[in-house]
Amino acid sequence: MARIDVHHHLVAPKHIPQLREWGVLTPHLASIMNEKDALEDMDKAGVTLAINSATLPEQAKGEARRAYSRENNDYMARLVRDYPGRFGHFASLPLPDVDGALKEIEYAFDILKCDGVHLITSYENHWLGDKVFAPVFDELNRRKAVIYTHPHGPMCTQGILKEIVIRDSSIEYGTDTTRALVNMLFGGTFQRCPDIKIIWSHGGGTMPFLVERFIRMGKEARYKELMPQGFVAEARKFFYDTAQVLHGSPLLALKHLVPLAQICFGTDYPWRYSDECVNGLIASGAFSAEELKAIDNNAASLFPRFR
Amino acid sequence: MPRIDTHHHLAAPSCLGPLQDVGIIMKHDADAMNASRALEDMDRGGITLAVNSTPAPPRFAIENAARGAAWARENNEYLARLVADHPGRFGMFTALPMPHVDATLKEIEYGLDVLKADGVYLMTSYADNWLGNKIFAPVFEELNCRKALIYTHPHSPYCCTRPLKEILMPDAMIEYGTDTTRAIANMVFTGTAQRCGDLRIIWSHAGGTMPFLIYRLLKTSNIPANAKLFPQGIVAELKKFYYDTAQAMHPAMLTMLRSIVGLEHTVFGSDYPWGESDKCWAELKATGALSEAELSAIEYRNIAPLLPRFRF
Repeated sequence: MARIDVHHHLVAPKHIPQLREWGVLTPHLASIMNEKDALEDMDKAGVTLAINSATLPEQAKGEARRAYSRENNDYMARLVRDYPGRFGHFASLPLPDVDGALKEIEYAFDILKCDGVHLITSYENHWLGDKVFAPVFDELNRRKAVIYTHPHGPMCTQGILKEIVIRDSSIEYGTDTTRALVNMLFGGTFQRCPDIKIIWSHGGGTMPFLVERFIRMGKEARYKELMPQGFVAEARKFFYDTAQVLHGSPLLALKHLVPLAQICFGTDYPWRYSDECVNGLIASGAFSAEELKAIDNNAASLFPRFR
Repeated sequence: MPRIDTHHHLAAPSCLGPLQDVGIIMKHDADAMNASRALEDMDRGGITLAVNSTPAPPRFAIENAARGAAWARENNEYLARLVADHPGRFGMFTALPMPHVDATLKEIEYGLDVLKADGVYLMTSYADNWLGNKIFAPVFEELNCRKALIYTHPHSPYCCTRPLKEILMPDAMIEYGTDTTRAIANMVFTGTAQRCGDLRIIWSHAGGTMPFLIYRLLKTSNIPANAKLFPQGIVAELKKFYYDTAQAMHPAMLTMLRSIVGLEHTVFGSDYPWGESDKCWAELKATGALSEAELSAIEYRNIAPLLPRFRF
């Protein structure tokens, strides 16, 4: 039985020391961020296939960012070849450099045969769906691409909440996913690009808890064309991964909002071990055994080469 | 059964112009922000008592202590007059000239001792310092000594005001709920909430986005640097807070609140004038998520002990 992890991070080995220096990786994370430890972790948890995305830190800029993306994409393509059926590949793009991103899309899809692309929810002060990224979304739409998204603490929130020991991942990540999701719908990019498929991390960030706000806003006359059946009808077209949402309460909220077929298993390896995630989903009590099997396998529809 | 609304916005008539000038309220909001329109809405919605707070103060009040103090005082005098003029219909949360600590301490004294207010009102952050920040420690200590009831309300923090520039997305949609979550986190992760154990704090909008991020907050609370703050776990702290139902009339939100913190501290809020109380109450019932007993507790029993001067 397939268990597909859509939220799985690896990075080209040569970048690991720099990521440690930048504080993106702790020594422990750095030590297990390689394909051998990843496969051991996957085997322990029955994960048959993990689609890799690279961590792309803000600090990599300009030419370095383009090189960083290219090196990660080459590394991930190698993993796909070397471990048939075990790894897939969401390509890194050097956004906010749109020209660089368009070139990398061509390379990643046509040469490396990637499974989709990995986009961060915002770049500097622009969120996915902003006009500046339109050429990228148009091209991804032309290619009927799968887009895996991942948040970060956006530029505007850097350095806040200085007094407490809390990471950006606790509040700012989920919020940034919500901003991007909402920007894609209320700005009309998603509707304009009906052939793309989008996966939002972490159960949709905080969108399910704020959904009443968006439902109300979606009813306004100016959104009639964009959301003829309302906000939730559009939100149900997205996919949502379960990483870092191992709690019955948010999982049940997600389950009641979107079809089960849109919920995909995700671990956030190496920030979580895969067996912890499998057991966490079971322990949450939010899903029956049948539903959990479906969640394990829902991503299969997105990756034709692994069927 | 009396019905109490703790999320109800009015402001002194002289302040309605400045609030419109800076876009905190629109003209139709200002037109509704007076006692007679409010009472009409309350009567339609079966609201016995509304505890008033002012909308977010304009930046000039936040950035200048003297202007902030004048703004707060003007509003507090007005809200106190409403309490006196309409016995049993209005309560008040004292507006405070935060982040100016000395001026705030003075206004706490005036509001609670002279005006006999029911509590105080705090924004979730001031100039990107969130509640629980050590600069506010004297304020929380004073409020704790007085066992004060604190009503909180979010606004757009400086860092995240209108980040989504290309769509017409009011900050109330995402940024407000997020700011409430930041304030909740800052209060518990600095240990302020634990240290000031006699405070009763109401968080707006069912806790902002806190319930959906509960897994993240649990994990953060368990790391060695934070674990000693939570001898009984973070959820035990979150259960001590109160949560209002304004803008939270959705079955998922209410169900999540019940499963994470229980509904014993859930209180009714309309968000007047941004909500009409009859519609809010009807929507709350129509979610189907609340039993009759829970609805009674939310409209009256949960909040009544915190408002001792009102007896029905």
